[in-house]
Amino acid sequence: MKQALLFLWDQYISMILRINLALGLLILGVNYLFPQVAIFGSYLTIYPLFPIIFLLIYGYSFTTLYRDLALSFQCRRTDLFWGSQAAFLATGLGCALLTAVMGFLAAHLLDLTAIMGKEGPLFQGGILWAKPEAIPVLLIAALTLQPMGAALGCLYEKHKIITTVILVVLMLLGVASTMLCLFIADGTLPISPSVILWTCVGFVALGLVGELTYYRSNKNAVVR
Amino acid sequence: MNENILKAKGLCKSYGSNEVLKDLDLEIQPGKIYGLIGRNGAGKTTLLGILTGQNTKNAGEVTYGGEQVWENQKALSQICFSRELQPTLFTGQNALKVKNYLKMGKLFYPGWDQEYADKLMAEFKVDPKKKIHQLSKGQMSMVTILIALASRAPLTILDEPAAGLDVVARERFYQLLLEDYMETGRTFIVSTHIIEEAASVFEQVIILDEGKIIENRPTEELIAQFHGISGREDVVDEVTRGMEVLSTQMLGKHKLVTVRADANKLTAAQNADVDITPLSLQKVFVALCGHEDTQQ
Amino acid sequence: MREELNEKDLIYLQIARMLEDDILREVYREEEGVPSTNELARGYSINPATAAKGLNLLVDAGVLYKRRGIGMFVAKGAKETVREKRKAAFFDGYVKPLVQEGKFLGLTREELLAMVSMAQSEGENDDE
Repeated sequence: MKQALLFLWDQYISMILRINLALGLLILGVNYLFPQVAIFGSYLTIYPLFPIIFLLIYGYSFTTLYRDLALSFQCRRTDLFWGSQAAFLATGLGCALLTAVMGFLAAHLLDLTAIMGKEGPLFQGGILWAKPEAIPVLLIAALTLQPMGAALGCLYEKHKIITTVILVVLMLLGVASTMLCLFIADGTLPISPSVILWTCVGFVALGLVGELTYYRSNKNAVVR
Repeated sequence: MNENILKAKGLCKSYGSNEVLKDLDLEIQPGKIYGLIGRNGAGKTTLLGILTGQNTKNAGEVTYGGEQVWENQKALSQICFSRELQPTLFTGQNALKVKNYLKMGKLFYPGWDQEYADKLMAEFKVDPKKKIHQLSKGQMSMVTILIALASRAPLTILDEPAAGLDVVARERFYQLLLEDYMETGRTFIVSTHIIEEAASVFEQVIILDEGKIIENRPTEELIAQFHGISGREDVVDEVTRGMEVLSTQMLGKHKLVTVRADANKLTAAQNADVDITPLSLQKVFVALCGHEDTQQ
Repeated sequence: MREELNEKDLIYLQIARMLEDDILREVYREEEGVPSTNELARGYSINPATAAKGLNLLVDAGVLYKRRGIGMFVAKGAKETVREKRKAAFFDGYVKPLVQEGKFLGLTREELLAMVSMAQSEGENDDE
């Protein structure tokens, strides 16, 4: 188990967090130095989406790449499964935290209205999470997207085309729902708490289906 | 008991309707270099995957030192199966770096020898920062070999390690393998289809054919059983009567047969007007496994 | 010793034969050590078990003997033993086929012997 955890930390968790941190700092940095360049401004507006949505892809690469690597070095499947639960939790929370920290920094270091012009208030809300209603949805998305991705990675082996389609649709849904979160967050869309609740329930349900699929596939996983 | 013996019993494995392994038995004794040979698609990699717990089986069992290998940490950590690296994985290019693999070795093999790994890295001139798909075929083989050797695992398995190497590098590989073996006395299984030049390195040869192990015995003992006998047709027929004839070739009135027979059965032939020649391991392999190609 | 092994004959036999050659040529004299199993394995890139088999063949024939923990040494009278053994092999492996080939070509006994003595005197001239 120790080896599985060390492997996950070294090659999965820390790598993902490092990439997201670097990306966040880069986007903050260019906007700080060149506030007048419009394209940098739009990177900033969509930044909060990146760390969360990428979790789906990381989960996917976990079962299509990292699992093979670990098993080919004689890692036990059970260790890898339970270890990966810890890894999903750590990366999910880590990415959510990064988004929050970057939003906090952006609000304090940058002149957001100048950078984003008219759209400012809209996305400002996303970055700062001004409205607390969006937080549960984002958190739950962060925690459930990886198992969903992992399950898709398992599915890919048997149904390549279907999986690719699902993956694309989910990515779009992910983008859409996170956008939705942003709108909700800054008050543009006054959506009732029950919609937020059902969105959360939907994420949790999909996440559980993902877990189950991943668990079952993992029991007899084979190095390809 | 059963200290460090790898045992497979009644292994069956199918991919869909394709039966790859059929009720296969195999025993690997510690402290020997085994050569695993078989035709392409004979199921060598599948077999090795099952022996190391990396692949699943439909039936049968695999034990190491008397304990199940499947999901057993104690057994798994004693075994290293260094696979051929794939430049493309099924989802795209293999973007993992050489150092990712080296770190894995260090993490998962209790006996990992970092000093030795560094030495080999320097000798092979492989850049650890390179991605797998950026390596040449030879360099990929070198990484595989490096991991296998530096793992110092009591049972180390190499799958086609020589495939991507040029002649010079292959010579060096056999040297390194023998050096390591003489130093540690650990068990090696090396699968290869470059039979001839590897024959002298193997103490024992395992031949996999049509889903079964058809031979598992000392290399020289196996080779010594096979002979080519050639001469006039009637004389050849006369001396080979009662022998196991594996292949026959006619050239005019001249007949060339491959037989399997103990040396003492050959005395009659030795006094007759025929030529008796020993066979190389490669020829023995062709005689045993070339069945579908030699129909005349 | 030769540089290369051939691919036709069994390796341990080749190893034994090469050592015999060297004993006949007095590369290794009585009571001198011969290469160890590992040295042979390294030198020819062969499995040490095979090298050991070749050495043991000579031990069984009384050509070499083991000194525990030190290695293999050339036995007393080894050269003579090897010569006798090789003489017998020479008769079976060369003389008999020579006679057979002569018979095949229809040579008489006299013709064959004349050819042998001719080859022998040519060989002597070459040596001068």
